[in-house]
This record gives sequence, structure tokens and C-alpha cells, in this order.
Amino acid sequence: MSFTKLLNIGSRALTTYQQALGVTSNNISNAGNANYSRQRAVLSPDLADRNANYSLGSGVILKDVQRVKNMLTDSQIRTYNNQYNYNSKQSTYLQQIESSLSEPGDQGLNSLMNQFFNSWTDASVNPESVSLRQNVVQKTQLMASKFQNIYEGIASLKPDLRSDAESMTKTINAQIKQINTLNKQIYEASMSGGTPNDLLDQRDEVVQAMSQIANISATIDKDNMAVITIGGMLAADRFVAEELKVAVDGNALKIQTADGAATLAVNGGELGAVTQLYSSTIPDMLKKLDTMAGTLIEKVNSLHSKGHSLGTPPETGIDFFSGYQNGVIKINSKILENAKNLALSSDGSTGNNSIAVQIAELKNAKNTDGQTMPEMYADFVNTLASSIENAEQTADSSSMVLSQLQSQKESYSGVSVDEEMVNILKYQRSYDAAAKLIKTANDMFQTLLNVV
Amino acid sequence: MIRVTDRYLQQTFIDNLTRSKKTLSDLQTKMATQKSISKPSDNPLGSARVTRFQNQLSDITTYTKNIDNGNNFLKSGITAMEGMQSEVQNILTEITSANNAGNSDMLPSYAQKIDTALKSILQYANTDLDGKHLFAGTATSSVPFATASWYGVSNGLGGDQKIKIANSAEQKINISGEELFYPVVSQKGSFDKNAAVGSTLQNSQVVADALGKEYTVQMTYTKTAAQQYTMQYEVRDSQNNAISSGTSQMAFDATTGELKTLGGAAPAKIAVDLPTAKVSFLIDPTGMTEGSTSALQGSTSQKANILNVLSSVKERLASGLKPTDEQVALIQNFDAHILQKLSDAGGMQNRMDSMAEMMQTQELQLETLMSKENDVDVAKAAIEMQSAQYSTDLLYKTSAMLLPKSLLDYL
Repeated sequence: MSFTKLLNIGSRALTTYQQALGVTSNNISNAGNANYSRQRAVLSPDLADRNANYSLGSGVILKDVQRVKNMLTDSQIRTYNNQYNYNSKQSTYLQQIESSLSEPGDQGLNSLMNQFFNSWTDASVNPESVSLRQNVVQKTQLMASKFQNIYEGIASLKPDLRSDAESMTKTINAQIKQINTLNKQIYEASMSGGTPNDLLDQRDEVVQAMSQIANISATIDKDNMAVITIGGMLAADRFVAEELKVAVDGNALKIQTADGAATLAVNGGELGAVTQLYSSTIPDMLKKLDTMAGTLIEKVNSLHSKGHSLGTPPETGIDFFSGYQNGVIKINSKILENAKNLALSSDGSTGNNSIAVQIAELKNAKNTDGQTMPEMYADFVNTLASSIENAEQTADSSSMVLSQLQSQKESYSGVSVDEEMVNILKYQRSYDAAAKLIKTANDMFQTLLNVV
Repeated sequence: MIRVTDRYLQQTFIDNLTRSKKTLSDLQTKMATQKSISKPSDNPLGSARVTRFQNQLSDITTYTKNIDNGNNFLKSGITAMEGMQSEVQNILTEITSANNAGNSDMLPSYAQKIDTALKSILQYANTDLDGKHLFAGTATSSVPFATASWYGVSNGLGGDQKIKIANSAEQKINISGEELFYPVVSQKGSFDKNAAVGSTLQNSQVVADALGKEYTVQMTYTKTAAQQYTMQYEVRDSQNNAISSGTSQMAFDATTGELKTLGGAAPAKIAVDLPTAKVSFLIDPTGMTEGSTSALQGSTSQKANILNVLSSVKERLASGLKPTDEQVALIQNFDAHILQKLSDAGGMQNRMDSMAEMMQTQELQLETLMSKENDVDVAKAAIEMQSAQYSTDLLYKTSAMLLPKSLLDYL
């Protein structure tokens, strides 16, 4: 072996370990970066010189810088991230509705509805008492006011949800463009023989963020390109970057392509939760409230209009409620002006309380669904509470799984400072040894020169 | 072997700390509110139960208040009826005394006593509580009885005042002036809807005038068309002479069979007031229905209008005439009638008292159930909180030892 070769081996070793130290230092500097996948310097012996009887090694080279990544874990993280964010978002909005109910408590509609019916019972004991009649009016106003408060509280979420959906759609549009751009950059880097680990990490980060917003599917094709579909429709790859928009169709909130030609089946992530709440949950709730109010008004009016007021002469045919629209239950102005117009008597005699008793008994009267009015409301509250509980539990369990998956990812792809410190020592020692080799070769060469 | 990186340790620490703090926060809320359910989603089923208990408790409060009010009303009615009964007893004593041959020349003074007793009875009958007249039926705002020489009947003093004392129970809390003083000829039963047009049903009842003379009230119902009948009454004296009669058209609901109209108006009792004959009574056909069978029963609550009887006794005594035996019998019957009504009122009161007692027991049970469902076991929560606090402290301590360490510290 020539002295030159010895020096070349030493020189290559110095370069290689310097590069390996570079990989290590990159790892260390990204130790706190959650989206970074650790990299590994893959060292390999250089091609040996082959002679007739043996081969002499040519030292070490840095063969590759590998990104340590488990794609399966990433895919699972996306699934659970999607599930977690869907349920978490649902729970957040539903809790806003729940807080407006003030249940269980004295200020809740349940209690106020009960007070409303009981006020008729109270009035029935002394139907001539104007103060008890005014109490009926006052309890009705309290109940109607709470009802309106709940209704408006729910209905007012719709503009928030739409705005939320629009904001998320903007974000996802930006992410689609990023994926498209990164795909192109990765492709170009790969074609020029590079290993674009940092670009791949960036792309993974964007894909992960997208899974928080919508039900996406991400596959990596043979050219290492990410192909992203949202709700079953191709949204991004190296050639496509679809732009999405929010469209309102009646009661439904839809996510469509910018030209409106296709509607995406977004049913996961925060955007899925928002569209579901807007298009289904809230209209259903408002419909239930409308049914409740309609039933109450119809039943009370049908009895009240048969009754007689306290006036002289007693009047009949007076409706107790004068109308209902968008959560506003209106009390007949005639009754608001004079509580004597409450028709508690079935025959016009002042002490007759038959209508009051019958209206009080409506509390226990079953409607066509076999439910009483308090039961209808209890069912409404219970459905909401169960939805929240279900969403919270699913979010909690998804969060736990997600946390475990994140730990798995950390364990596999995360940077261990201790490990990197050991690598530093290892590469430093090798570097020292290579330098020593160069010095030894130089000494040998000097010795030989001295002989000449 | 699993690789434990720095971020892995940090992540685990954050996860554990979040869980510990969530536990602490939940326990703190429970301790502060003393309630295990502060919103429905804390426990949907439990919350539904708590809501139901609250409704039931609220109902109990209302019904208990109703029972108190009803009892007061009823007690006042009982006191008034006891006063009336006492006056009737006095009247009977005075009549016995007036019938004594030695007192024949003092009859006008007995008339005075009877007049005073009658006025007292009327005063009791006009008693009001909180502006509501106890014996005015449902026409509680007007004074039901006025002193007069003739006490005619009207159908305005009937009607039950009912209050709700439980979800599916109502309780009558009054004895009306009508049921106390007036003779009511009640007609109950059904007409056969398949009977031929022209077919008739008959029934007769006996009433008495102020002197105690009996009259027959002959009721005749004739079918005139489908669901249409004519009701005719005749009042006949002991010689079978009709002294009064009347006719009303009855129309029944084809589906329910209930009486829809009487004389073209809503069904009501018919007042038969005959001052010349000193007969006054009510006919109540409102219990009639049309069905698949034909049956008719009649009854009379009492024979004579006692106010007219007493007025007549007073007039006779003032004129130097003793009360007739029939009049005395009618007054004795009225005495028994009041006793019967007192007994009825006592029964109502007993029912309400037992209902109030039941409500108290139910209230206690519901409060216990609600407490079990919603109240926090403070001792248990305090221990749990201590334990959670201990775990959190331990977590902080161990993490503080582990997280900052790396090989760097030893090189």
C-alpha cells in the first residue's frame, strides 16, 4: 500500500466522521422539534483495491443519511388525530349549548316549565284571585324567555360554525398548496440524487395538520409523492392542488370544490364536526324545540279558548298564546294587558276552575309520541348530554391512543440526546484515530525521506 | 427494548400531569359545589333522575300548598255547617216548645225566634273566606243568599270547586248551596240509540211544597229523531192535576253519546220555581247519555227547599198557626241532611289530610334519593383529593429529578 493511499484513507475517514458528526449535531439541534425525525448516518467501507491474492480496504465513506420513520405509526396517528379532533370540536360546541340550558337547576327550562304548570294549579285554588292570575302570566313569561334564550343560543351557533368552517377551509386550501409544492420539491431533489429528509418531515407535518381538520387519506406513491384525498376526492399530489370552498344549501353546510362541481364527504376532523353540527345536530335540536313549543301552544290554546274570562260578562274564545316563531312564544296581548282575561272557568262562573285544572294536567298528558311535555324536554336534554358524554369519552379515548402513538413515534423517530452524545464520542474518537493515522503515515513518509 | 428519548419522557410527563390535574379539578368542583352533577353531561342518566326528582318535589310543594288552602276552605265550610245545624236544632226545640198547648198564645214570639234562626242560617250560608263565598258553588264572587219572603231556586249555586292534590287526583273542597238547600231531581241513565222515533221513557219523583204537601214530578222523554229527544216534565198535585209543565229539546253526540245541548244551549239544570204553589226544585238531566241500552233512574236529593219551609213555619207562627207535622218532618230531614253533608266534608278533609301525610313521606324519600344521586360524599372526596394531590406532588418530584438529566451532566 502506498503512503498516498494511507493518507487518502485517513483523509476520507476525517471527512466521513466530520459528516457523521454533522448528522449528529443536526439531530441534537432538533431534539426539541416534535415534527423532526431523527436521522442516521449510514457508514460503509469504501471499495477495496483488489490485487491478485488479496484485497486492501480503502477506508470508510458516508453511504447515506437515513430518516428513521415508521409510516404505519404516522398513519395511525392521523386516524386518531382525526377522531380526537372531530369529537373534541363537537363536544366544545355542544357544551356551549348545554351551558345555555342551566340544567339541572332552578333557572333551567325544566324547572320553569314545571313552575308554569304549577302556576295554573295555584290559580285553580282561587280562580278569582288576580294576583294568582298574574302569577300565571309571570311564570309563562319566564318560561317563554328561557325557551327563547335556549333557542337563540342554539341558532346563533350557526353563523359561528359557518365562519369556523370557512376559516378551516382556508387553512386546508393553504395546506393543499403546501403539499403540492413540497411534492414538487421532493421530486426534484430526489431526481438530482439527494435525500430530502427535511422536506419529507415538513410534508409529514402538513399531512398531520390536515388530519386534524378533515378525514384525509394519504398514500405515498412510487416516486415518493404524497397523494392526499379528502372525503374520497383527490385534493393534492404533485400535479393537483384542489381549492375548496364552503357552500350553504338550505340547512346544510357543504364543502365543495371551488367550481362547485363536486361535494366532498367531509365527516371527520374539526371540519366534519362543524358541518355535522350545522347540517344535522342543530336543525334537529331546533326542530325538537319547535315541536315542543307547538305542542304546548296548541294544547294550552285548545283548552283556554273554551274557557271564560273573569270579566263582566265573561268572554270566551280567547287564546292564551298568540303565536310562535323562531323560539319566541308570544302571550296574547289581551292577557298581558289584563290577567282577568285568563279563562280559567269552563262555564263562566267565577269560582269554576275547570280550565285551570285541565291546563295544569297537560303536564302529565301524553302527546302522539307517548311523551309528556316535561318528558319531551327531558329527552332533549338527555340526548344532548349523552352526545356530549359520548363525544368526550371518544375524544378522551382517542387522546389516550394518540398519546401512546405519539410516544411510539417519539421512541422510534425521536432524538435521544444521550444516544447522540454517545455518537459524538464515537465519531470524535474515530476522527482522532483517523488524524493519528494521517500523522503516522506522515511520520513513516518522513522516516523514509530521511533514509534517502 | 424501547428507546426512551428526551421528548418521550417529556410527553409522558405532560400526559400524566394533565390527567392528574383533571382529576384534581373534577374533585375540586365537586367539593366546591357539593354536587356530583353540575351539568347534564356529567351523568346524563343521573341528571335525568335528578330533574325528575326536582319536578316531583316541586309538584309536592304545590299540592301541599293546595291541600292547606283546601283544608282551610273546607274547615270554614264545616264550621258554617255546624253553625247551621245548631240553628236547625234550636228551631226544632222551639217548634216542640211552640207545639206545647200552654204556649199557644206565644206563637208570634216563636215566629220571631224562627226568623232569627233563619237569618242566622242565611248568614252562615253567605260565609266567605278570602272573598270566596263558601256555599256559592262556583259563583263564589257573589253573595249567594238574600233574605226574602220567597227563596226561589237558581242553577247558579251548584258546581264543585276542585283542587289538584296529586298528579292524577282532584279533591272537591266545597259543599254547594244547591246541594245543601235545594231539592234536585236527578235523571241518570241512557237512551237506546237504536230505539224507534216516537218511543218514550218515563220516570217520576216526589217533591214537597213549603207546607210539606207532596207533588209528583213526571218526566217523559220522547225520541224525535236520531240523537234528538224531547224532555217534558209535569208537576202534579195529590189530585193528579198538572200545576206546571215544561219542555226542552235534548241533542246527544253521535260518537260519544254525551248530552250535547239542552234547549239549544250547553246542558244545565232546569229551575222549576212555583211561588204560588210554594214549590221550588231543580231538574238535573245532565247525566243522561245515549247508548246501546235503555235505562233510566231518578233520585231526589231532598224533598223541599228548606229555606221556604222555615219561612213558611215563621209565617204560620206569626199568624198564630202551628207548623204542620210534614213541615217538622222536613226540618228533621234537613237536620239529617246537614249531618250527612258534614260527614261528607269530614271525609274530604280526611282524604286531604292523608294525602298531605303521604306527600310528606314522599318528599322525604325523594330528598333522600336526590341526595344519593347528586350530593357529594365530602369525606370520600377529601380523601380522593388528598390522594390525587399526593400523586401530583410525586409526579412533579420524580419528573424534576429525571427531565433535566442527560449524559452531558457526567461528561
